[in-house]
Amino acid sequence: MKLLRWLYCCALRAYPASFRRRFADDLVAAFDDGMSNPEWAAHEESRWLFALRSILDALNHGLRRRLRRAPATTSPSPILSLPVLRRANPLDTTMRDILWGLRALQQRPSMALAVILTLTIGIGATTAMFSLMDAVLFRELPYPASDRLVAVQQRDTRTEQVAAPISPANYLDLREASETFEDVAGTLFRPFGPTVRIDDEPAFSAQVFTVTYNLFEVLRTEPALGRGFSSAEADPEGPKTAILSHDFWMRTFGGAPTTLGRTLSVGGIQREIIGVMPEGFYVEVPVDMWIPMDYDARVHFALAAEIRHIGMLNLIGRLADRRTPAEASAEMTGLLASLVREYPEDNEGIAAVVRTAKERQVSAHTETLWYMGAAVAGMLVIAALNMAVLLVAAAASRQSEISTRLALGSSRRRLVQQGLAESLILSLAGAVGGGFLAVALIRSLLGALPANLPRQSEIVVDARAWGFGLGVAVVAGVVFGLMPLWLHMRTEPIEALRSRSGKNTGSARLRRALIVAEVALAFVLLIGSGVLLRSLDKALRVDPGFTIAGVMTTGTAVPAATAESAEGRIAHFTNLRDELLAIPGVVEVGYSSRTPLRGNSVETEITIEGRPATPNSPMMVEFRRASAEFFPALQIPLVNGRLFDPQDRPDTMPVAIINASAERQHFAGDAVGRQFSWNNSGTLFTVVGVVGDIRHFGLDSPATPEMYISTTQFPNDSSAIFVRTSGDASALATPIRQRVQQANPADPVPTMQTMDGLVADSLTPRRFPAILVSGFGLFALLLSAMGLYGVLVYLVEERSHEIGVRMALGAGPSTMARSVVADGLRTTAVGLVIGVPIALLATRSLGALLFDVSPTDPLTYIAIAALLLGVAATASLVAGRRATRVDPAAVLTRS
Amino acid sequence: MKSTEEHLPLKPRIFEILLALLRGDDHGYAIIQELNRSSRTRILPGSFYRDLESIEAAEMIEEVDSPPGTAGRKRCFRITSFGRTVVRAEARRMEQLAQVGTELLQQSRGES
Repeated sequence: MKLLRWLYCCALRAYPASFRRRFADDLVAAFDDGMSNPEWAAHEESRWLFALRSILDALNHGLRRRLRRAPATTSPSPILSLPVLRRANPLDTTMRDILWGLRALQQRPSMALAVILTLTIGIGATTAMFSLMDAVLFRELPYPASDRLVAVQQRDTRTEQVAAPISPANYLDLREASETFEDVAGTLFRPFGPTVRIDDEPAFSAQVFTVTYNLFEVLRTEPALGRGFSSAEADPEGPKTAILSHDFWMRTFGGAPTTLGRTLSVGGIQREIIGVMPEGFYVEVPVDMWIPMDYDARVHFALAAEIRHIGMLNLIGRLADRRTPAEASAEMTGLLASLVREYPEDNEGIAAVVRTAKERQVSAHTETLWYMGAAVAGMLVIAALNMAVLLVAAAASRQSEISTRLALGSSRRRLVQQGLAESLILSLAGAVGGGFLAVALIRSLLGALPANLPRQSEIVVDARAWGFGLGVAVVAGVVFGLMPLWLHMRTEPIEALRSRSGKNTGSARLRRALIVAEVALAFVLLIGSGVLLRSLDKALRVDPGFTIAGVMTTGTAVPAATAESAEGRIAHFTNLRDELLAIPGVVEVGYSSRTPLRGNSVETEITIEGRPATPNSPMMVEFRRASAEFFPALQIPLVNGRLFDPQDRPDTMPVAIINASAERQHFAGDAVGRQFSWNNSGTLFTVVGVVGDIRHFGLDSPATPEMYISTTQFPNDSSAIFVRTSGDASALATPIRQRVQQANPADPVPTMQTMDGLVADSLTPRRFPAILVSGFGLFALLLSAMGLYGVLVYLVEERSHEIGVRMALGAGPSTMARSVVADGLRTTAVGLVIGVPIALLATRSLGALLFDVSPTDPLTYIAIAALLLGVAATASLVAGRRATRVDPAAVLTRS
Repeated sequence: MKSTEEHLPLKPRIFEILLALLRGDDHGYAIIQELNRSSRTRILPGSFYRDLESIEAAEMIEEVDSPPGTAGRKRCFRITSFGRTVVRAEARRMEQLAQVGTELLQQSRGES
């Protein structure tokens, strides 16, 4: 209530100061008195409408008082009441229409409230969705002249690969030869999370993006503080530098300008801080800092300019003046093709993928977002249809009033204006409510968005979104507000006056048609949500090939002092494993270089001894290191041969384990004992065992061929840890974290995650649209049920005379109820018949978003149809009960 | 000389306000409460004070000192003698109108 009082006080500012000085206290007191009217205790909505009317009234009179400027004496006396004597000015008429509309609504507060609530949810969801799509899909990238930015990647024409990074050597050649680009920059795969240490403070992990030195120039964005990278930093012997994000600078250095020139250790390398980027700046994803690539093969994440066979860089170029993306695309395609001819071994089968930078960023999400946008629009239409149903009902009950006014010579234009004012008030109230709802929705959505959705930080309900919601409201108000009016305008007033029985078959037919449309649309929405949910359910039921329950995963790095020797690294992993096994409840501990479901891919080509090379279909496998215990820790079954052995040491014969897919695809089902080499390295590996497939890239992605080499034979300096426990893994998080940290105190505090959590994360892109669309679908279902119920109740009331007569003649109440239910089911069935072909059309494009379910899944269609019929039957039954309460005696007496 | 005629007929709301002030000096807010008691719809303060201001400008009422004990800065009003004249004229007009109406009704009944 305080808010309304505040709004009223704001509205009073419409009056000139002189008026306010005299009367403001009285006005507020009168408003307070009106608001505390005890009669309204039971009708909260009337209180709101009173407040709304008072506010509009104050605005109206205040503004008019201002326009009049001088006191009443200079203009025709406002005391004259006869309207003919007063000049009708447009402001006057509009205000009067608005007040008239408010009064009309105040007489039917529950109807008004129902419409406003429906529209609030409809417009709120639509506005929230618009904000999301606007930030992710519609807005230009946040760099100057960003429409001139073009992304260059490559694909392997021999596989189904869509787009992949380009190798550093190819990048340098492309950049050198290109004429369509002003300059081309690159970013390394994706950000990585090295250990960062500032002076002697505790180490922590930060998100660091390795980029080419010219990236910020290509993006035409200068650091807010300090300088950008220079070509000197591309030299392996050049200075080691870093540029901080604004956010990280504020968080870690408190925004101190003296930060420039300080050093920090990133992954063990001392780097000088030379700049801070502007607030909100990011490339692809928000990170803590950027470091320049120096083409140095010695460092783990740096690059060798000679590497041509491993794609590492996603390129972004700025078009030269008067060059078009099409020209750039043609040039890059030609240049890469000539590089393929020049270096056939390294560049076999690759082709250029050129598109605008924005397209590259959002292409993975476009379809899902548009689909959700369509779903939310469908829901909005259902909400608006419901408003039309209620307005038509209200108009029907005012038929005689309107006919009288028409007969008395009231102009149709005025009637349309008044009708529009009424529906616009409703839809604008819905827009305001919807705007606030959208803010709340976006706030709660932000945590639940798939992590890979770009530009999440830019999703806000801003002026554009409010404008969009308002626009939607006005369109809905005009289109659906005109519907009942059109009904009146068709009727000849005299005719209508003559048959004042109140029956209005036109209105009943229109409402039934609206309900049929609602049911059809709701069906389409529910089918969409149905197949998405089925596909999520199927993905959840997939056997990943490894144990999920009770497994905790984290990571460890070997301390720098012991990392130099292979023995030191092996000892670190062995000791840590013993420590972890000592925790009560821990069953098994294994290591692997990659965590399943995290989606990290290191694809490599193998050559099998004794088999001719097949250049057109290279044998690709995913490469990982694993300890012998990794397989029992995740309960990955051994299909053939043996697992790794402690005897597999750096100085013994190199061995490998492959998965069943690799054996089937590359070894013709017989792998144990065979030898292969990878990436033409010369080292020959002997296959000693075959293990079961695991779904490494997500429950909904098929298993791919994999090879594992032993962590005791080729020990790395860091690894993921998998701890299987006998119960709830998260209960052991603390002791596991302690042991891992004790093993290397210099390492940042390890992040822990259960396998369950990883599964949930990996399914977010699937769960997100499924849950959202289901929410829309359920709301649509509720609205249709409400609409159907309202229409049936109205029909029962209209038929009360007939029902009364029939009951007097001996028909039982159940017969009457049955006829109402049949009516409801008939209407729903018509909606379904119309809905099925629309659903078949609308969900056809859904295929790409589905897993293991067809968009025309018959089970879903049957289930949804049954659900709708069931809900309709319930609504009809409730309405039908009214029919049984008709008192035949009363009806007959009335007639 | 102020003309009574130019203010007739009075808007019903203004007539009611003047009638309320005939019972004694009062502040605007009290008049609203009075009118709310006697009418079915709630009076919106904005339009009420606009009316109040206009009849004050027409010198039908005037502001007087608030009686002691009035809370806040509420304005107290008194009907002027001109206001009384207007009320009287309006009452007479209505009386005449009622008379004409009654006669017309009687005539029409006689015809039917």
